[in-house]
Amino acid sequence: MNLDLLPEDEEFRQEARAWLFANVPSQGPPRDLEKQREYDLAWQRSQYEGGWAGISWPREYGGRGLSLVQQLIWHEEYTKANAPNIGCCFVGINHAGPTLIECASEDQKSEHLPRILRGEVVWCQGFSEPNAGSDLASVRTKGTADGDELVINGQKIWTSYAAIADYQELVIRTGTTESRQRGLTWVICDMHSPGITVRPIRNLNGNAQFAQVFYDDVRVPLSNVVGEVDGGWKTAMATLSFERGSAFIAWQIELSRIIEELAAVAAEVPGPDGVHPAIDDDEIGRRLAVVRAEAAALLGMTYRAVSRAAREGRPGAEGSIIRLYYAELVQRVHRLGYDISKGAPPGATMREERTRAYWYLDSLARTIGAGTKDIQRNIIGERVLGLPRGR
Amino acid sequence: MDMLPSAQEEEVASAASALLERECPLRHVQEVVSGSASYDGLWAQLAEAGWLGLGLQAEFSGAGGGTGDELMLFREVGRYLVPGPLLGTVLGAHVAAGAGAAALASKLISGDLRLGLAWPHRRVGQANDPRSLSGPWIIDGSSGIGGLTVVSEEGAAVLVGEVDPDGEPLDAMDTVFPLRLVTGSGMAAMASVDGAATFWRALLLLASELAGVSEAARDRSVAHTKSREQFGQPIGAFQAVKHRCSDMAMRSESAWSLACYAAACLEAGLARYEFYITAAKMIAGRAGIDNSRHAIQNYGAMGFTDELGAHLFLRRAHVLDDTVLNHWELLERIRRARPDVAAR
Repeated sequence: MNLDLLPEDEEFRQEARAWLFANVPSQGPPRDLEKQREYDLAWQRSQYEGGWAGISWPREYGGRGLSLVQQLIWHEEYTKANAPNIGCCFVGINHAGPTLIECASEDQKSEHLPRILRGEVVWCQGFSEPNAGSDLASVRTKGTADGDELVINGQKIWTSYAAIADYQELVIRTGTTESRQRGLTWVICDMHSPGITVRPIRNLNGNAQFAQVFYDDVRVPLSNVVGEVDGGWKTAMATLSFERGSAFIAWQIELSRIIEELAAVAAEVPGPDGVHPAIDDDEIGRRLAVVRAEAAALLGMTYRAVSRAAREGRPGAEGSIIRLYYAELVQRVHRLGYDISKGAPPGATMREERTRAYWYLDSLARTIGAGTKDIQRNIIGERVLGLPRGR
Repeated sequence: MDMLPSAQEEEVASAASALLERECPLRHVQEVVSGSASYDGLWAQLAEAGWLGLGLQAEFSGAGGGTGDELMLFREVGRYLVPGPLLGTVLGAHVAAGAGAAALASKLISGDLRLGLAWPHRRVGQANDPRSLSGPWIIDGSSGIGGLTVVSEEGAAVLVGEVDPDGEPLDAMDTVFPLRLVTGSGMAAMASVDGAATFWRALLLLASELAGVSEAARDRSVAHTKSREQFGQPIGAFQAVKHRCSDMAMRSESAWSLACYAAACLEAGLARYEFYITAAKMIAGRAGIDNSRHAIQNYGAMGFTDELGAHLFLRRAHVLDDTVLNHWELLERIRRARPDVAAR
C-alpha cells in the first residue's frame, strides 16, 4: 500500500487549489430558503463555468470524468478552501443526476443533465412517506395511467428543499396495493405542476427545510418515467447505491477540523473542576483522544474504499460501514463539543454562527436519514457478512 | 495512491495463511497453552519460510520486503494466534541489521536464537535506558527465548543470555505470551541502535496483529451465527446478534484500514506517521478486545468453555493491547498530539 501521487495528480491539486482560492465566495449561504437557492445555484454555475461541475460525471454528459484519486483531491481542496456546502444542489448532482446517467433515456438525459450542471435547476427527492420510511417498498402514492400521462395522488414526506425545487425524483406505486417493489415506478416530477402542495416541517432546531408534499391529480407525462413502468425499484436501488464514495472525504476532513477546534477550545475553557482547562480533565481529554483516533480510522477507511472502487470499478458494500461509522462518530464529536462548551462564555459560536447545542441536536439526524443506523447494521450484516435475513 | 495491498503483499499474506492453516490450527495453540505440545516445529517452519527476515535487506540474509509485507504477515500472525516470540525476534533482526551485526542478524533469521520482546516498566521518577542493562522491563516471556529485544523511544537493543529467572510474572492473561517483569542482570548487549524506528515498527506491527485477532473473532462469530439454529432459524438472523456481528465488521475494517494508512505514512516518511501509528494501535487494541469479547457472547455457553478456545483470542488481544504502550499511554499521547499532525 502507498500514498504516492502521480505527477499529473499533484498538478491537478495545484490547479484545483488555485481555482478555489480565486473563486470561493467570501460569505456563506444565507439562511432564507429562497436566497439560499439563488446562492447555491450561483455557486454551481460558477463551478460549471470554471470547468468543475460534475467532477464524477462522465464527460459525455458534460462532467469532468475525473479519476477517483483526483475526485478525492478535489474534495480535499474544496473542504480546505472552505467552499460552500452543496446545499440544495445535492440531489441534482449526487442523486438524481447519476440515476439519470445510469437509467434514463437519451432524451431525458439531454433534457435534464445540462441544466443540473449549469446550476439552472434544483432537484428534490420524493421517496419516503408517512407510512414508508425504512420500508421503501411499501409506498402508496399512486400513479394511474390516463392516455400518455400518469395521474398521481398521495403524499411524500421529509423532502428536503421541496419548497424551492424545480424537479423531483419521485417513486410511486403503479402496481396493485400488494405488489410491493414489483409495482413501483420512478418518475421525473415537475414541482411546478398543478396539484402539488408543499408544506414545510420545522425540525427540532427550528429550520423548515424539509417538507411534506401532497399530490392531487398531478399529471406527469409517461415520457418522464425513468426505466420501466413497474420497474422503478431497480431505478430506486441505483439511486440509493450512489454512495458518497470519494465525496465522503469532505465529511471526514470537516470532522477532523471540528475535532481540532474542540481540542483548542478544551485547552482554553475551564473543565469540570472550574479551574483547570477542560482538556486536563481525564474524561474529556480521553474522549477527545478517542474521537481523534476514530477520525483517523475514518480517513483510513475512506482511502481504502476509494482504492477499492478504483480497482474494482464500483463502490463496495463496505460503504455502509463507513457511513455508519461516520454517523455515530459525528454524534459523539458534537456531544463532546457541547460538553466542553459548558465552560465557555455564553454566546460562543462555531461554523455558520451556530452554537454547539445546535450542531449537537442537528447531528441526531445522521443516524436517521439516508438509512437509519439499524438498517445500516442490517445491510452490513446481510450484504457484507452474508448473515441470513430475519423471517 | 493505493491503500489496498500490492500483488507482492497479497502473496506474503496468502503464503503465510496457507502455512498457518496447515501448521497452526487453533488446536495447536491450545496444545501449546496446555503444555502438551511445543511450538518448536512451527517455529522451524516459519523460519524456513523466511518470516523472520522478511523485512530485512539481502545483505543481512533478509527477503528484502517492505513495511507493507511485514504488516500483512503480522495480520496473519494475529489471525492464527501464532505462538512464539515472533515480534521480538523480527525486531531484534532489524536492530542487528541497523547495527551492522550481520552474524547476529543471520542467527536470528535462521530461527536459532529467539528473542522475547521487552519494553520499559515505567516507575515514577525512574528513567529507563535500554542499554543500561538494568531494566526493569516487561517482557514477553515465551518459552525458549535466549535473549531480549528491548524497545523504547530512545533506542533498541538486543541482549542475550539467560533471562532473569527470578522475573515476577504479571497477571496471567495469556499463558503463551506470559508477561514477566525482569531486570537485565547477567545479560550481554550484542547490538543496539539509537532512535525510535524500532519502537514505531513495533507499535505498527502490534496494530496489524491486533487487527488480525479482531478479524478472526469476527469471522468465527459469523460462521457460528450462520450455522447455529434456535427458534427454527440461524441465530444470525436475529437483529441483536446480527448487529453485534456488524459492529465487529466495523471495528475490524476501521482497525485494518488505519493500520494500512499508518504504514503508508511511515513508508512515505511523512511526519504524521507517529500520530497515525499511535492511533492505529489504540483502535486495533479495542477492536481485538471488543470483537473477541463479543464473540464469546455469540457462542453462548460454549463460548465460556476452555475447549472451544474463544477465550484465547480475548487473552491474546489483551496482552497485545498492553504491549509496548498500553491503552492509557496511547490515549495520553493522542490527547496531547499537535493539531497539525492530528488533522493532516
